[in-house]
Amino acid sequence: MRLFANIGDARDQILTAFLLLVSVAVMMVRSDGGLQNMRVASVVAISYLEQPLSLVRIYRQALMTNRDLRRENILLQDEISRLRSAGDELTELRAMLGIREDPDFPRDLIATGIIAKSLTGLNNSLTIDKGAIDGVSKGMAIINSKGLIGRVILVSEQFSQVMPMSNSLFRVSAMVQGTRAFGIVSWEGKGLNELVLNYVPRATVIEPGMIVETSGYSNDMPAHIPIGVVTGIVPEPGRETQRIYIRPFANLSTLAEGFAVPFTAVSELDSLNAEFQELF
Amino acid sequence: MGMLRDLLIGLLVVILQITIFRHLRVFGIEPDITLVLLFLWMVRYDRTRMIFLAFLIGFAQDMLLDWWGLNMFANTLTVMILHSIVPKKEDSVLGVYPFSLYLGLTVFTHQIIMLSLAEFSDVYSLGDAFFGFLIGTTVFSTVMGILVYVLSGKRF
Repeated sequence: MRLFANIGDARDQILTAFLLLVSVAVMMVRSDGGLQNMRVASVVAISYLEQPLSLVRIYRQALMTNRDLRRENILLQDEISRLRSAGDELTELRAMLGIREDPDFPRDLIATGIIAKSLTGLNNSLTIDKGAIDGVSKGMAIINSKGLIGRVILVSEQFSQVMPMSNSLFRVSAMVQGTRAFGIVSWEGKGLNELVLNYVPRATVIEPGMIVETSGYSNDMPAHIPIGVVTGIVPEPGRETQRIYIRPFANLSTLAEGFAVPFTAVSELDSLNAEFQELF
Repeated sequence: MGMLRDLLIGLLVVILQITIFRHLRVFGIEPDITLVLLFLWMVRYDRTRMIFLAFLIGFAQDMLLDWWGLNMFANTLTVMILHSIVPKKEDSVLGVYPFSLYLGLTVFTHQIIMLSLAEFSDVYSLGDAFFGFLIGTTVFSTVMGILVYVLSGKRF
């Protein structure tokens, strides 16, 4: 009897070892992008599962958003009239100085609804109800009226999955308004309301309350998309840089809709960068 | 036939977890009722069957949550480690206290394996939130399991 028990133990151990190896292999293949089609299929499946329930959340959020937007609308009406006159003045001054116009921010935004959210802190993601047939493509920035939300990482026909800023793998090139201080914004997993801007030199004076926005230097999303406001600055010991803590403008917890921002990367820059990398 | 029925039940629980329980967050922590199901199965089934069931349920979770491999690994290893410790149904009807103790141990073991693996593989990072997430999920899932157990009249 003891022999049979031992054989049973050995069988279970071999089986477990085999299945654990399969799990590790799946993890590794996933990192290499080998499961891309299955990942897209899973996004579609989860979207269909969550879509009916998301309607309740979307309706509740829509009421709150509507109230906020009404209030904001009044403020913006006032601001827009002041900006118009400032814009005219700016155009005139630019013409006087002979400065070339910057490329326009994309106008053809794609309105999307957020139909699923996973903000557990482990693998944060959002699912939007627009996909390839609506013109959404991988890499597009997702924004709302407050600022940047994240970046599209997977696209199916009707749905797309978004990596929000509050994901440990998210990175975006950013700058502090008015300083020309550039760095990389990332998330360290300390709550949804804290991002970090790294690699900004200590010599650059940064104050709490300053606005951080996309720089456009990473050639994957437009410049000047607001990200958040500076809440704290900590010099990095032993380095010439400082860590800048940011409170993001977009609140992921109450998010219900947004816009996908079409952006065409300048391929010439990418190929130039690739050539540079090949030199070393 | 029994295995197929269990797999369908498992898939249903995974879908419930994703559509409903994943959104019942308290301080960012969510309960995991698939672990409650795994524990209840461990009380009933032999280890070989449990290893298969845990792996397949983990696969369904990973596929739907885009966590490829993490739950498959953690579920399988948790069952292998704890199956011989968890009391079996034929021993006696489990009281609420031992039920919560063993369920808590199951959830804790699963979470520590999964979160450690996630940190190690550098796929996901919780940083300082690691222990908060570990303890929070253990407590929350155990409480949910006790509720299910008590409300069902301890019929498992």
